[in-house]
Amino acid sequence: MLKYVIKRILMIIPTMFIVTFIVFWLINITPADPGRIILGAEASQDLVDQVNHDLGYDLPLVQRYFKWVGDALHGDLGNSYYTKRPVYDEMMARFPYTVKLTFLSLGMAILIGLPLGVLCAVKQYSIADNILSTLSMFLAAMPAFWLGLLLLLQFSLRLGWFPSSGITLGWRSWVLPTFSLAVGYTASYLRYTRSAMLDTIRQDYVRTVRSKGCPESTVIWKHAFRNSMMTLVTITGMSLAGLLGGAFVIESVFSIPGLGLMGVTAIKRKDLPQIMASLVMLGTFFLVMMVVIDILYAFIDPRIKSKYETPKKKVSEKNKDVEGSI
Amino acid sequence: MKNKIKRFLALVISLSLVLTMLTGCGGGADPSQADNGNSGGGVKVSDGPRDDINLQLYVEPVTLDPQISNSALDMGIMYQIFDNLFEINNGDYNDIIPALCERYDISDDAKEYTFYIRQGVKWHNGEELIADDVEFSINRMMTSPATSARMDFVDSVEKIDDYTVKCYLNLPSNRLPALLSTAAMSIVNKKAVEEFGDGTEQMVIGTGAYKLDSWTPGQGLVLKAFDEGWRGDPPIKKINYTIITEATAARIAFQGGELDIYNANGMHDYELFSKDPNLNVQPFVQATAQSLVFNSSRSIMSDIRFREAVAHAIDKEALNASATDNLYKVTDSQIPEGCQGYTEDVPKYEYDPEKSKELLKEMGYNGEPVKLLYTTAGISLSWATTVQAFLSSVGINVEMEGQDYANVVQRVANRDYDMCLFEFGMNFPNPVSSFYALFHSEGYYNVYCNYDKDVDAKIIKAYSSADEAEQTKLLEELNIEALEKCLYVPSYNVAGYTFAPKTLHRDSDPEPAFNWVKICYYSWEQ
Repeated sequence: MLKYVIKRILMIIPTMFIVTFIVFWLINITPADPGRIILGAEASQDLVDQVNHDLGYDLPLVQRYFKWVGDALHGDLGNSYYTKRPVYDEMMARFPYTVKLTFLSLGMAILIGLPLGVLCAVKQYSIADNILSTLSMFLAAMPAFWLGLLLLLQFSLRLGWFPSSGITLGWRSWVLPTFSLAVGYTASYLRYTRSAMLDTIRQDYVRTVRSKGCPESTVIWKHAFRNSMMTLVTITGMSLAGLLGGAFVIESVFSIPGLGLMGVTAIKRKDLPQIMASLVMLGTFFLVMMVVIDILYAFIDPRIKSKYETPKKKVSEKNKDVEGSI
Repeated sequence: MKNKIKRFLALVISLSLVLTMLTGCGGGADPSQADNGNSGGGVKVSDGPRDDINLQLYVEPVTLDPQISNSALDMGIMYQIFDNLFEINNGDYNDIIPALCERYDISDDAKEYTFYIRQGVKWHNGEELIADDVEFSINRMMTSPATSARMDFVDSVEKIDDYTVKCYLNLPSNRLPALLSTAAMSIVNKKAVEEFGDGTEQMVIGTGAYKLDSWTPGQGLVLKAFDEGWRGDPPIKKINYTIITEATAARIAFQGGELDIYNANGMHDYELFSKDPNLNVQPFVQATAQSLVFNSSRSIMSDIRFREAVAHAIDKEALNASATDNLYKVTDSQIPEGCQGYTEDVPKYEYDPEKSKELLKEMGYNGEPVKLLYTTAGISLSWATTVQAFLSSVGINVEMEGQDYANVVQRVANRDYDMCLFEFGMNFPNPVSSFYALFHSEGYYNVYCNYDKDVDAKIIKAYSSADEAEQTKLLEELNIEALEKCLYVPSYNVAGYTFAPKTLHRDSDPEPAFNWVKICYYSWEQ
């Protein structure tokens, strides 16, 4: 199992190489050069060429890429072409906000969506099931951006309960952004949980457990729900990319100083160090989360864990039986 | 049957819940209704005395170094932190008053200026402003890519003594004081720049009424009043700049009282806030104009009949309505009203699609594709699609080339386009430099690719003239000639409305070209 985990973690490295090279290549084949963008149209070509030379932009693309990789491995992600500040510092000032928003939203989606999905499955065709299922359809279709603006109008402007922008008022600053981002995913979790639970509840072993006299809560949570968790863990992994992207949008609505806005501005300005640094940070975060998801599979389902037991152990156990019989 | 009833009930209840949420969608607060106990307006106006002000930044500032930045947004902040040798009095570029420069002499040939620096002016770090700082700053203006083009008529600068500096020009000009009053020409602290470098946060040390207190990336900046400033204590002690990138969020923040000054994002904002009895509304028109320009060195662009056909095909009023919701101001020239060189006598190309078709027929246009370059964001996109629609209606085959800002800057610099949306802000204090940039063969903004020696000679003559009236006449002639040749089709000047509470008083009008305001001239009603 440990070997599997280490192998999965090591796989992150070549994946990051491929992703960073593709993005580096894509950014560099676009027409604009950084010298012209930084200095503007009125600067002379000599000055522009000088700036491009100072930034290493006149070197071949592959050479530039490996120079960047070499610097990055030494912890130097470079300085922003525009602000001249180290991009690592700028990123570390913003990355926590994006991650916080993502995890708060994910947490809310799981804490609300999962129990309600279980309720819907257990009380299938009840009035609660019908209301929640129908409502979840609407909520899943609502764009987070639009919902965020609605919430601002109602809870910030009309009621004055929460601030309209920024993160300077503690927990209150996070309520509306989290809710805006989480609502759609809550609805998805509800529907997926309901569907997964319905499949599981109908299995023979659940009927057997019930007939053996187990309390209903044990039947639902210990047996049925546990066997549904594989689906939900998969959905969590799939949702993470969407949540990160959604976080970027919500950051602009609520003026949260996360990576989203910085990344979009960097792309527009062709600020290569910032683009690459954002990519490294987000890409690594995403890949690490995928590894965590994979590890969770093994913990939830013993059958998966047993697949990663070494063959040698099994052979020696077999030989033991053979020796024993002799 | 029972299940069907349950599902129907569930649908009704769910719809009701959703519709309840949708009641949050409205046209915003009704100005005629009382709101939370405040005096009858839709916008929450704070009660009681105040000594701070909350302003919006719609994008993160890049730098607060005056000679490095080329962003109007950054300049608005620098306007509070740094001072200039001269200042615009009450928003009038023709009324320049001394600031860091107490008085000045100008030679008879208008090629030598002697500036006498105000004594006892303190920097934010406690040091005194001396001639070394002024000499350093002017040299910096002459060499920095962001400012050097505007200072190309200044030959050299020399320190005479600790409080006297002399400037030598290569061409006579009466405009140097006006030019030195703009935000990019602020005086910087020599030691800070040499120690901390260009464009860094640490070099942001000025003599202005406010000093930089904190800059939190992604969130905003705080400026605090400098209590040893040469102007004395400003009434407003703290300026809070908050980064709010989303227009609707900014409007909500203004309505909720979290922002004190708000620029309308469309006529819907004007219609909403102009009725609010608690707000003052001030219209503004900036020096920036947007036009459709032709690369007249290319194929059919070189034929004036094609250019005139395009000009007659576009209904500018409809274009303004479509692209800007009538927020901007339709213009007949790239030179805005109030700027030297502006004249109403420019040729005007009225909307006349039939004439447009006649011209195209006359020149034998056969539907050859013509490429239109523009940036794919906001108003530019609306502008481009509307222009394409107008041109298509007269039979011009337009190929759209929407690209991001960086690529457009590059292609404009390389003159790689047939037609493009071009935005240019006139140098109000010294317009002749803008005319050079736009119309001279070697001008860095000769986006029309018009190479005319007679025009070049006229521009140089205007540049060399110290006679204001003669210079004005020459610039007006250049303005007229550019439109007689139909080098571009003007669209509109960037314009808008600024809203602020009536309890916020100001003693000076904003700087006209870019609507900057000096907050030290503002105060709250006590």
